[in-house]
Amino acid sequence: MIRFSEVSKFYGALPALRGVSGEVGAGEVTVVCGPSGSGKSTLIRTVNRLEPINSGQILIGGRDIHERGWSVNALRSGVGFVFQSFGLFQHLNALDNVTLALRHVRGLPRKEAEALGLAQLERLGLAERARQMPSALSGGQQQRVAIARALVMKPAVLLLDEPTSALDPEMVGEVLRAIEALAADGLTMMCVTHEMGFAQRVADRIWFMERGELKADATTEQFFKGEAGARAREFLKQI
Amino acid sequence: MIEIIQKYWLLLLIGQYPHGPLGGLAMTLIIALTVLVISMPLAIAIALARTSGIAWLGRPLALLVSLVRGLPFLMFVFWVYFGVPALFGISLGGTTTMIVALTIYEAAYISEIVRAGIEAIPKGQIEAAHALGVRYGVRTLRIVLPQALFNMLPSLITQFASIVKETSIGYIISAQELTFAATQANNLEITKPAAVFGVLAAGYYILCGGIAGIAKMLERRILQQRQRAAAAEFVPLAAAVRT
Repeated sequence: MIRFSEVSKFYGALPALRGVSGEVGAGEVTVVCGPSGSGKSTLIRTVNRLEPINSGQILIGGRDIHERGWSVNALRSGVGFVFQSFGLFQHLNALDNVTLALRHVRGLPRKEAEALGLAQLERLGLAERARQMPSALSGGQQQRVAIARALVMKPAVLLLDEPTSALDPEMVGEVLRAIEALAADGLTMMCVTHEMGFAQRVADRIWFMERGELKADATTEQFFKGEAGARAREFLKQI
Repeated sequence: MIEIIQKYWLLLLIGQYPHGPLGGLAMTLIIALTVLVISMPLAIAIALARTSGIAWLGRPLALLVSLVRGLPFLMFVFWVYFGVPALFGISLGGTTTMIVALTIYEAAYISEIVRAGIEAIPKGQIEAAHALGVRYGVRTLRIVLPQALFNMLPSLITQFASIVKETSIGYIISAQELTFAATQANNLEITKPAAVFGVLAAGYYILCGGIAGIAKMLERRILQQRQRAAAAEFVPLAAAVRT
């Protein structure tokens, strides 16, 4: 579904990604973990071209993301992205946040977009919050609105960049449960997270990154048995 | 002062209208509102160009804005008043001159206010819009400008008060506005300049003070709303520094 081939990225002279190669299968959940500054977030941000790469190739469904005739906005509207700090539009209520791209990227009429938006909010347990402003919602609710906003576009892939890091501990569970439900529905996901318990329950594969390199690409079972290399074992111990 | 008001209130309010041109407070407000209406879209366009990241568009405008902000307003009045007839062979009246000069001057100032508003939109929202595939025009019209202009409303209203005060410079080139009407009253009275200009000062103060009061009230409301939004979007420091 997503294939990285020798992907490298530099910030000036500083390497952020060094020749990352790997594949995320359709319907699979891949959790990307590793120490701070290891390039996890950078890696998933390259998939929808939020971060340009310096060399290598990224394919989604066999198509190069830099292919001519595939505009960056068309690519992005088919790849969901959930940020650590939600990024909700503060002047729009939950439903308008969810329907903005349906209306103004997909061009759906308001009624149709709202029906889809409401259904998506309902799926994430937020039906009664649809008309509330982001400032009236808890962090966990805001993040679920952000997930609904990404899902309503029916993305082929959902990328999550530390979706629970900005949340108070008591709200982490509700967001993780929502993501687990999506995984059960067979959505292809790449998730950067430090929640290793969640990774063990949900992930099909675990990618361990260090200093911009993909150090281990293992099944969840192998990873937690400590069969993904010495560095990955050390990392697991520290967490 | 009461006597001056009783005698000249109509002159101060509408000038010599209907026996002569419209002037006084009415013309002051017409000039100020016209300037605001024309300079706002110009200011937004300048601010958008400057925040677009397109150097060949942003840099010359940055230079232009700094030039306008670095010169006294009276210079612009003189340039338009004397320069336009010399260059184009047409003579603008006092009122039109004031509108043109003030529009140039205010577009530069207001563009800085709007730019600050645009730059204050949290980067996370812009990035989220990028990630949804929302194109520039939609992003600007639906996400950036509604929030920027709402947050900037108090500053924009305060700027309107400043425009009202600047219209008084029009007296120098015989634009028929409030100060011009007051000097006409003063010329008729001859011996009561303190009373006449006292009334004039009170008039400006009530008008501009009222506008500033509205701005303050709005500022309080917007601040409350922002604090609520900030509290809801609070990111613990430990989480924010993690990458």
